[in-house]
Amino acid sequence: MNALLAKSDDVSRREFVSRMAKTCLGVTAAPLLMGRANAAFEGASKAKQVATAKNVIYLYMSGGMSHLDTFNAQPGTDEAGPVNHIKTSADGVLLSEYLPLTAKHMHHVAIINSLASTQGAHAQGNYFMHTSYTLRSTIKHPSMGAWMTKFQGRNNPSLPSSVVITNDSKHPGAGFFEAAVSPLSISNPASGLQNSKRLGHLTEADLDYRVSLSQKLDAEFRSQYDYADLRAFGDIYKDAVKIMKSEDLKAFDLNQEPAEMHELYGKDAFNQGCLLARRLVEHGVRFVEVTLGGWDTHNDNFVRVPENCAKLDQGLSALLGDLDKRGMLEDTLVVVTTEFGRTPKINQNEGRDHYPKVFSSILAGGGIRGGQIYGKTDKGGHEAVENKVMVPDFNATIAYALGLPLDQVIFSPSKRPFTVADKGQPLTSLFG
Amino acid sequence: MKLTCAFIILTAISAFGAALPESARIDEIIAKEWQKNNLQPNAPASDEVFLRRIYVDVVGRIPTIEEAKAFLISTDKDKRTKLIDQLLASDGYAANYFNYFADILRLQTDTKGQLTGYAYADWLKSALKKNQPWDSMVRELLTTDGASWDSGAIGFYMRDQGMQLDHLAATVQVFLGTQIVCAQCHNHPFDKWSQMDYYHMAAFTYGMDSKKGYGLNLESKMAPDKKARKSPEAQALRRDLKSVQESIKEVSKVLRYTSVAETDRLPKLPHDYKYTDAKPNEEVQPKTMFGHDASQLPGETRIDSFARWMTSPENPRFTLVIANRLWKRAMGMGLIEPVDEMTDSTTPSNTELMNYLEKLMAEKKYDMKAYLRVIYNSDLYQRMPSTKDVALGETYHFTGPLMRRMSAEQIWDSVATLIKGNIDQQAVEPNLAAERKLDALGKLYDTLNSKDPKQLIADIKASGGAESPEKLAKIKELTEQAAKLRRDGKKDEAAALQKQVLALRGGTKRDAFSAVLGAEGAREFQREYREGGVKAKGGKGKQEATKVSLTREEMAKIKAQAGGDKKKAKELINTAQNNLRKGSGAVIAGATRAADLPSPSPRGHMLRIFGQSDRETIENASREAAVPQALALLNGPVADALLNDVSDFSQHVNAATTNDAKMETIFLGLLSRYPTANESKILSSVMRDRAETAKADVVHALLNTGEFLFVK
Repeated sequence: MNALLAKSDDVSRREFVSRMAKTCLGVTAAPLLMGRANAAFEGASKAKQVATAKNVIYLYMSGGMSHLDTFNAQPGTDEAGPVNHIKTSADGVLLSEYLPLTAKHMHHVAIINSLASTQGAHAQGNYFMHTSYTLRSTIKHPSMGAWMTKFQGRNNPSLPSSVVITNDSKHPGAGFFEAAVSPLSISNPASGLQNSKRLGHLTEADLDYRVSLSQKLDAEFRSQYDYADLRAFGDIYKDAVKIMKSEDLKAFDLNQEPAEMHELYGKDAFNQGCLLARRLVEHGVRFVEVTLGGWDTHNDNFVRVPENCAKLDQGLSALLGDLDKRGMLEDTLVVVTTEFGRTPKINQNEGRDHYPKVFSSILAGGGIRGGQIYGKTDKGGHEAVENKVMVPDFNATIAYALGLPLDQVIFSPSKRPFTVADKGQPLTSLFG
Repeated sequence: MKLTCAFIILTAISAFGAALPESARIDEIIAKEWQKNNLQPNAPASDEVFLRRIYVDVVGRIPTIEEAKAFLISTDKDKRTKLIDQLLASDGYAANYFNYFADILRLQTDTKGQLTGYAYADWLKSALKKNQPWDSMVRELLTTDGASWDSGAIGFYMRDQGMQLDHLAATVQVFLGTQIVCAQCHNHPFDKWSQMDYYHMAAFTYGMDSKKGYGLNLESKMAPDKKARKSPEAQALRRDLKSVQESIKEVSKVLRYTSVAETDRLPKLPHDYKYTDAKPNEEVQPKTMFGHDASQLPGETRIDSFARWMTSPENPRFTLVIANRLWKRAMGMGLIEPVDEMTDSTTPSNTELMNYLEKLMAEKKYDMKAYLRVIYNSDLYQRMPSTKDVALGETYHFTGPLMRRMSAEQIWDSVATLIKGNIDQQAVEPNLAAERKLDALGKLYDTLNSKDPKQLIADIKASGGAESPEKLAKIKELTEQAAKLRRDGKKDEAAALQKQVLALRGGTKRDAFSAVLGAEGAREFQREYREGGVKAKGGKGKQEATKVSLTREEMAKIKAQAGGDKKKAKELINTAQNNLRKGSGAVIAGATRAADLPSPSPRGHMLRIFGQSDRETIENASREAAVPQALALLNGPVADALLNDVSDFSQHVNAATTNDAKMETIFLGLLSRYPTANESKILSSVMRDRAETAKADVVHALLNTGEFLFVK
């Protein structure tokens, strides 16, 4: 830790980090449940376990990832189109030829081929997958990272507990929860935490001078008015200056990674996001989402899916291998999911349209038994014929891995009751 | 003791006396409240305090240096009233109130149906600009159908496309200050509303269909009724239509989210309706939730009668809600809190005053400017702010206004003012790019609907359209070749072929337009609709070339660094200028009213950092302090933008001849006041110790004060 923090004693450091985390980075020192939680909720799963996952890296394929051309291998069917299939490191598990690198890690991965959503439009499907609730204009529901922070607080006191690396400004974030549990949003993984570096032409002494001058010039005003908002405004400056000097800022800095890591993960924004996700988790961030867009392949599916898969394949395989090598895969759950699949029937534009009826996602690490396929579709991937999984069940499985109480009710400010994963039933058989 | 207090209060009142009789009435009512509670009113606000507050409250920005000087110098005893009138008449009012109502209406331009979003924003700006009365605005929102190139007011329904039931809950909350959303799924647990009440209310607006009413209803046009649809001729036509459907789909796509149709559709109870007063799936008729009935007059549709009921002065909550909302805007707190969660047991903190304000709003015929003018001219408004905030649950007796942090938009607009000077002349202009696109859509719609369907199909067939078999075959062939190349490990060659495929596909899209509109028509459509962004000001669309200049300090630094090497100096200057263009240069170029930027701004924008609403839920803006705000003001590009020679603020500072005058100008620009004696001492020491950087130090320091962000 830097000199400033090293000098201060333990208590004031704790105070600082907790306040900073609260006002800055969307974290709180303690779970934020005081007086809010309630008795068990009818219909919600009572399943509880000791968490098998400490962290989640959630890779979101925005636009609707074709299940047939990725994880639901249907060799020898018309629906598969021109795609060939390849063997993987897991016995009996086939993958699309578009994912050759990922194939080497399938012994860590559970594929779910029987996932189903009720939402067939992008905004609605995306929202449903992120919150387990349908999109409404009267309320905004929290995303999984926000639920986790709400229930469990954070890991590293000076970093946010959840980060979303995306350009999508519609992410539900904290939903109706207080802003303090909101995931920190980063649009460009390469640029780190926004505004955390000094203006180029200022020395540290210059900035310190200006901050202290500002306080001198503001002293009279602040002493005249006793307003909570104004006091909070004063506090954020102390914390801002400290965070600029904090070691933990390095968690956001991809320049600290060696060239071979950049090489391994790839240069695309998504791939850099995967690398940043690993780095953040290493530093104590617990829930990181990375988005890869471009999956809405109504036209020329077999031109565009392989392009997207190349990014996914490199980023995902690098992440799984890297986490494994560092011994982090055991307690880090890696998720790949999307809002819906694509029609098995190839349309006349060589494309596939929206298909919420059945699609695929994967889970790896974090207590998941690798090398398995859960659920089954008919030949051609039209519908689930075995172990159908609804979106809330899928999300309940993530929450279960994190050890979140699935039946604990939290009330919105409008006094409506909600649970994490909206009464979904976790797929407990995937673990162990 | 009590007597003395009353005496002091009375002298305090008579000390200055409000300019309008209605304002005096407010003062009279509130004075009784002080007397009853043994309270002293706050001291009258100084000119400096009044100046900054009235600018921010009415036009949503701090005054420019000239404006501040002019007001402070003036000895006109009516100068406050005159300034209030001048500001209310300015377009800055519309920009400021646009931000407020956009948050209430959840107005978004970054969503599906973006053009309708922009048309909606333009509609709201123009309504505020012409000071359309509130009741008339609400009626227009509720009843407008048709296309967004005719009226942006349809954005009200388009905002919640496919969510009519939710939309009704929002409508009731926003206009009637009542929350009934719980009753959408079951009887309200904390209020009296039943699920049936909810559906009765929803039945009024349910017919406003934002999904139908766009595109080419060719089938129904060809065969208007069921019988005709079965005729062999109609069936043949339908087959024909199928053979050109790709072209038609391609062309209709752009018309999505552009119109709302008024239908007589009624909502049905949910399949699991569990009460005994009706059966599941039963259709529900409209019925008002309180007050008088909304029976249809001759010539009125269902929605017309609903809008008349909603906005009637007889409606028990409509007038109350807007009167209370605008009071809160001016004074910092409502007489009823929260403003949109009223129940039968709600009582205002001052009933007499609330009743008077409600009456005043009706008397002013919902003219919001006239109403605000009364409040701004009261002695109460023109007092110093209370020195303490109001604790949760505590009753506030309004001994003066409450101090507030500026909203995100007010902070942004104030920065824009410092950079550009008076920005009101360029505010709330219609979005020309969006208008142009909407006109093109309107023309497309008319062309399509004026053509005989048979002719249309024949035209598309004749010209190939999106269905051109040769092209589709070519696309297929190339795709297969690319797959093979990729399998053989020739990734680059595969990628090159893939590019060709996508180009061909784009071509077939254009062909669809040519087939439907003719080559010339398609070109014109392309020109009008596709070109130019809609973000307009500050966005990617049309942006003035960014003028940037390095400060003298920066130039000096570069010269020192280059040490006489001219080539190196040039390189350094280039790099510095490029950085400037991306940083403070971008702030300078984008210094446009928040109301004229996309709604909401993207995440990470300064507006969002300071709590601009995401416009997802009602009144979702926040004024809470958060560390990213401090980081933005300390390390973000704003300080450099203000200090850049092109900024209006810097030009004024540079024009001041002495160092003391420069410091005074800096204070006037940022805090709308002159430095105090104590501050002057501090400033002298800064000038002595820091010499060259003193000016920049003080500007950057003041930008980061509470006094800059908060309005007394």
